[in-house]
Amino acid sequence: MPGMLRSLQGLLIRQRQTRSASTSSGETRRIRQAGTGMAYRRTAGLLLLVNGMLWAAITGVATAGRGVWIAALGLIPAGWGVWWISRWVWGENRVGMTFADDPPRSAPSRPAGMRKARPWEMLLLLPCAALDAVWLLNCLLAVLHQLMPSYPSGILRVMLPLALTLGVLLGKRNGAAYGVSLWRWVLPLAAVWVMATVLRNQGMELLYPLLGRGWMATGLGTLTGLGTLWSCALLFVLPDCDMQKTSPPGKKKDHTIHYVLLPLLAVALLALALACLGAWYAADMNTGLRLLLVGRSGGSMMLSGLWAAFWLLGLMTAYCTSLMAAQKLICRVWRGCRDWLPVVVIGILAAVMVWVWHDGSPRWAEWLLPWRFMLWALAAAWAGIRRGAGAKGQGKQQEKRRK
Amino acid sequence: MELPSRFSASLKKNQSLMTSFMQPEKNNDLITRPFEALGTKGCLYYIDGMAQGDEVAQHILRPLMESGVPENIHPRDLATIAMERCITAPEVKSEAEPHAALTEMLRGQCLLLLDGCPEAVIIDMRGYVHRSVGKPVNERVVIGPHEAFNEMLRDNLTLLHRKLPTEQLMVTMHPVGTKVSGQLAVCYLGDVCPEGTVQRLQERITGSALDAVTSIGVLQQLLEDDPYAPLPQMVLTERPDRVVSFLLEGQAVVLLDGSPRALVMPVNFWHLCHAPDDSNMRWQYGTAMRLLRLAGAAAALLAPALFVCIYTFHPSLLPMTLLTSILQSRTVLPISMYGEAFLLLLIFDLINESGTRAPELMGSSLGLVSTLILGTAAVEARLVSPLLLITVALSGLGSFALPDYSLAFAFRLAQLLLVPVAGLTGAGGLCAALVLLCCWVGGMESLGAPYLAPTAPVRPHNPDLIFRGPVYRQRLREAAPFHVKRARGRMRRW
Repeated sequence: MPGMLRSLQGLLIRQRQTRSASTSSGETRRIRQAGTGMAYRRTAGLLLLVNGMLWAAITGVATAGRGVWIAALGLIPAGWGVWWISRWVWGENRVGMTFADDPPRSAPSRPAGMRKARPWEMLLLLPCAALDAVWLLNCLLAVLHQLMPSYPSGILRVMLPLALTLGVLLGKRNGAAYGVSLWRWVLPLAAVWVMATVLRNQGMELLYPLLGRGWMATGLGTLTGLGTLWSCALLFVLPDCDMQKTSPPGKKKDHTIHYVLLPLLAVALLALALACLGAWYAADMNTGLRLLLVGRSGGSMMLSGLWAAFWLLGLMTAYCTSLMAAQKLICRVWRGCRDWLPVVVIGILAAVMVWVWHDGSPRWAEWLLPWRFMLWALAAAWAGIRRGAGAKGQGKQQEKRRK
Repeated sequence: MELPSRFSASLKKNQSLMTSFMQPEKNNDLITRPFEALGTKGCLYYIDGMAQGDEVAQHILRPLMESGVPENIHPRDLATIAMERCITAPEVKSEAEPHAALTEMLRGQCLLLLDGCPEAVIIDMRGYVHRSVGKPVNERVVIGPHEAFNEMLRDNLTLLHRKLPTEQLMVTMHPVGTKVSGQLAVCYLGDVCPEGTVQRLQERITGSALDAVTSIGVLQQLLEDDPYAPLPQMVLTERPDRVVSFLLEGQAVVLLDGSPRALVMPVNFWHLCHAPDDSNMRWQYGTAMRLLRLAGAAAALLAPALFVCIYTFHPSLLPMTLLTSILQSRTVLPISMYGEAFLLLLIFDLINESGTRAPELMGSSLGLVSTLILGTAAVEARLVSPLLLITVALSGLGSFALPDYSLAFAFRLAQLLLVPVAGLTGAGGLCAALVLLCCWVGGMESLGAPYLAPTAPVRPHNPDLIFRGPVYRQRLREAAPFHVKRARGRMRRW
């Protein structure tokens, strides 16, 4: 009993501030880089959360019906697999390359093969970021159209991409990541609260039949959701997320899995709520209404407002994340590129696309979304091959040096 | 006028130099006192009113005139002999460069020239009138010291030395102003403040090329990282105890002669939100006050805009009784909700500004007239709705709860921008503006340190952001990039 009390006390007391105290400039630089990397990972987690919830509300329910919650649960092991592969390919664990406190000067920061893989990574992952930007903006406008039906949508189609792109630009190097990561607790907690409240008022008998439209439809639902997992790559690919630079020396634990598992659990919770509300879904329901349905079923104006606020802020922060991802992917390959150029280009592209398809969700976009997973897989495969080749080459060089 | 690089050994040449530089035929404030001492002629210069005449006579003129003629001395050594054997003032030094010597004289020191000696003697006999150490005007506290800085740099440094009697308190003097040379002091704790911080600060001070820096606010605008940023990137404080806490955290402080405030950097957003009382009270009360203050800040920023947005575009979110009440009160109002909100905010700011500028005798009655009578009259005349009036008043109170004046002003400006955005574009525009502000503030820096640290980027920090933890849990010094422990082991060892 005293031991349990002591451990509880340890949980309550913030020991963290007594653990790490840096007195060297190298260590403090590492701490700052670690903080920046964590901010980018949090934005990637938010992007996964919003993308996942969009899938659950729009494509998941349309494909799997009441089995959407099983389809969402199926995404969790898939997400773990995608995370593991991304970490193996792009993360800290490099075969044959372990360092002590500081890497020796002769050792490269990344294997040479990895640097050569970057242009292909950019070419494969950039379309995912661009597609995300278009899709998120489209959904945002759909939600706003539902909230303000009589408001001229043309103004929003100009103002929103302009304001959000300007926000990313004003953030300079890392400001957008810091600003977006401020919402890391507020948004998910608000969403979870609304979903939990809605679920509390629903009966579990509404879930029957459990499989909804059957195994095939449920499996297909999971497959359509795989495209949302591409952002797991952002946990490691972005330059400021270099685990080798940001992890304390000797530390092997990796907590990046939380940025995948927790969002997917929230997606599963939403899918469960949607499955309970399945009776309210109509085939011709527009995107905005689909997204707002959960909040409007809560029986309270406050819940409805909170859910709407979650979607508005969540879609906007995810849109900013997709712009940041595009910026970082391009700038890590094209060294001379100005920071603002990729942001402006993708922002304009997204704005033009939503102008062109102003009368609803573009069907081709919904069809393309699951293929983001294939692009991620190709990028991971190519990076893995280059990494293997690079490690082989370095192994040969080390042998020569020894001789 | 170009000055020579050294004083001449001839008193006549030096006197003509002084005459041509100071132009005493136009400038009647220069006191010139010729005399004979140490077997030679001399001349004393000072600005009338800057030095105390009695003290000058007692510590400079009398000892010099009553000293004998020393034997076997070279005229070059006259300055040294005067300083070591005659002058009884505590602070004396010699200066060979005319520019430096004249600058010191213009700052209030006495300048002594002796025939045959190519150096001037600078004697500190400053005794000009100045305000004594008083109570803080803008940063009042309930529990805590009631001392504030004044316009004298020496008094301010004395206050710091009294509160920090440590050999590690470094005070580096710097001239500032290209035409009118002012004096500022950079203070830091040598064993805590990172060298990079001091170096960067000194580079910025050296690189500030204004003809005259008349106040600390002007200096702030020259030193801050981004002059276009929405929030202040430094803390301006008039409290010595607050400055001491910043010094102990590892920050650097700038004091300017003639300004009763200190400039502290690098700071983050949380420093601007914290009040001195938070640390002086028990942690529970400090936390409660802090939460109240942050709620006030959120209300200041969002309450009017949210009210306008919900009423105009999303009335279904309001409870029916409230909506009915608002609609009933608005049926006879001539202007739209958005215009009314904007107008009320402007009037509130006008009342605030006029209360600041009005003479002291009128200030309190002006406040009473404007808030009670105008507000009541406006409602009875059916120009504004009572609910909106309450919302605007509450948001104003929320902005005044912020301890930093610049931050409160920034929140009131943001209020004025968010209301038209909310009124014209609804929830979408309001959320987009919030996200834009978050990204913009996230990119801000203070002397190179991220502005939103330790929230973003995350780093180890004391439990002292929103919740103020007990002082014995606050083990780290906060100033980036070093996080040096303040204490080892338990702080409460009894």
